[in-house]
Amino acid sequence: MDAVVRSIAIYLFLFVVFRVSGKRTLAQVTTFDFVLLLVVGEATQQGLLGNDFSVTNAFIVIVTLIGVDVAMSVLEKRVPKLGKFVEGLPVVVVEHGKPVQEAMRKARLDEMDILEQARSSQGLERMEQIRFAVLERSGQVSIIPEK
Amino acid sequence: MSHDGLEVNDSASFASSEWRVQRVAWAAMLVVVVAALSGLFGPGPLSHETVASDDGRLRADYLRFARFGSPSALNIIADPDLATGGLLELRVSRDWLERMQVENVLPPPSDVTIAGSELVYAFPVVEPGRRIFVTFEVTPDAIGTASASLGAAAADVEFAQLVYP
Repeated sequence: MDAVVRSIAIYLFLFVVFRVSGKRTLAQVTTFDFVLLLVVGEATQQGLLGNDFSVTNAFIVIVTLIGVDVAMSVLEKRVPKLGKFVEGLPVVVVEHGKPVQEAMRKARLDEMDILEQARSSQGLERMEQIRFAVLERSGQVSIIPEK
Repeated sequence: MSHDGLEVNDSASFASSEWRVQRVAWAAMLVVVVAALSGLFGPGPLSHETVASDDGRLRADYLRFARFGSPSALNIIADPDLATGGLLELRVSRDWLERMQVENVLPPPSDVTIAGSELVYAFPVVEPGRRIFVTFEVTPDAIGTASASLGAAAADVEFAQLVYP
């Protein structure tokens, strides 16, 4: 019984913590974020499995985690409002070459981050060449170049 | 929100509330870290406690807040006059012992007997006149409050531990 409780508790806890920590963490923008993701997996393992090294325990944990994942995605489709809370909404961070300061501050993005994404995804050189930059729900920044 | 031809379903009000929730969550995370450092969730200044019998002859150092599956120690200090006939007989409540996995008792007792709701650990005392130190290395096996009562001769102590999951 406790394998199921642990799995659900840890899944929900991780979900909430990552959701409120902001989109940058999800997109692994910096080395900090990447290292964090590596280490969190390790920290979670012991809590999930406890002292039980049996295959049965592993199976129960895996099935429960996948089950909760499926349940969450089904719930999200059924209840549209939930989608907003779970996934968030996109945020426009650059409009017609001009950064939207408020939005960028809240998203913890700076102009360098935007320009980097513009270079790597569109081969753009300057901020003026960006028509729109949108911080998507996934944490990735999509760049729409000026025609 | 309209953005000159860009079809995107953003929302200024949602972004604002999301930001506020984030800030509250960050503050909460900070509180959790400070609480953990201070021992609210396990070993730490808030958690290390000592309880002594009325006459002060028996003392127990324990963790007020412990965690399931996380080893901790119970240190008992007894005055030499609590030992009779070269033996310190320490009574430990079974209720507490059942909630703990006893990994080790230092020094190893010469005898452990069952006396109703208590186990009596007998420790031979070679040097009479010196304080006696006994350590129970335990790992909590059950979540929730674990109440213990210990006694030697006429001195008794009681304490409770909260075991986090």
